Amino acid sequence: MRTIDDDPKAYEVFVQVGGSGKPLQYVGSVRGADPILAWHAAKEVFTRREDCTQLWVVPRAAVIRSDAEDRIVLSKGSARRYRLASYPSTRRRMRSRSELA
Amino acid sequence: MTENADDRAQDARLAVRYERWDDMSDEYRAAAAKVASFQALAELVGVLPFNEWMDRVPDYTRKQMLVAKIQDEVGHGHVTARVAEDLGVTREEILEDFAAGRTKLLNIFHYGFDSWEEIGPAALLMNSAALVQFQSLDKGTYLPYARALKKIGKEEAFHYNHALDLTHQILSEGEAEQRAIVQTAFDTWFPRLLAYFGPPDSDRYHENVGYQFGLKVDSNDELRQRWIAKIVRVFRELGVHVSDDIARCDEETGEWTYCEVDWVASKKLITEGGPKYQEWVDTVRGSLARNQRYRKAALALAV
Repeated sequence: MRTIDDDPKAYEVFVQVGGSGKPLQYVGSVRGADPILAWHAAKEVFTRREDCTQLWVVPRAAVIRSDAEDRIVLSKGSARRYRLASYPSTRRRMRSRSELA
Repeated sequence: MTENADDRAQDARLAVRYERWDDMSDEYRAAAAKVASFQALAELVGVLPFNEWMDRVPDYTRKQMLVAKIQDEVGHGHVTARVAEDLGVTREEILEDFAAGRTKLLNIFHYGFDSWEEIGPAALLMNSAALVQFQSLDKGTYLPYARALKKIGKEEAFHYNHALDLTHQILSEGEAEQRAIVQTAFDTWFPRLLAYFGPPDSDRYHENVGYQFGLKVDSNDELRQRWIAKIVRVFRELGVHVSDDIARCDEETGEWTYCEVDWVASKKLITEGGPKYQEWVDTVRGSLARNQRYRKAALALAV
């Protein structure tokens, strides 16, 4: 089996649905002989139901994506509890409880 | 939903999931490519029986809806072919293999429709079966395929409702002769759809490669039961007679018994080709040949 990871005709597709304020969402990929044809292919395949306000195609080779080894770094967010919005008040309650005790 | 999450946690087959760029064994890659390319072909050829009716629809709005369905199905072919392409099977290969008689087609796509009245009930049976299949397969381990199926499922729900409404219209507004066609279509297509889910589970179905890899999530019999439980009630509510010989629910166990499927005939149909098989092969072959020069020209012009 061969793997096509650097397929020069592959374009990743991003759409904005649900209103112009929404973030763009990754939905899949298309192949196109050139960027304009790729955009049209994406329009036909991915914008058939919901109203779409933005449609982007990005050459696959232009995407910098994370690797498996980046996962630990990327998932650190929830490990740093002191950054969470709820943390200061939770901590205050804990503090006053320990003062009472 | 929680039941599925529990199943996933308990089922080691479904625990490890893959993105396109993840390391995977050649066997896994080949199995995933097979599943995606098989469906791509089913979508692209499965649209031909409907395509044939595009210029014969007796109602303008129905025609618009049929055209939308046909475009959807071709789109589903594109989406699943993309998944296969990224795994090393090209779109051309999928079509050329079929044109050369190297790949098999799902049993239900070997037939055409003899009348407009037949399309509603037949499509309702097909769409409901496809929805049950997709809602199982989209919990599989190859994530690009699972995502493709979720997208497809949304559009399939439209096809389902269109078929339901079309059948309802014929049964409520049609003449006796038309209503009789709906009944006959149900009796004809129901066993075909039973066969669509594949042979009964053998003692060794757990050894199936697709099942082992978690690409196939549920067994054939599980899916068949799930489908019958859903669709028989729908047809009964529409006013179609579903005799006990065709499908009957055991009140105590909740299990459905159903008419016997002629598995020998079903296998023969798939290997030797049904009434429309050769026509679809010729259509695909002709389309590939006719469009070849345009494909070449477009590729040559592309920057």
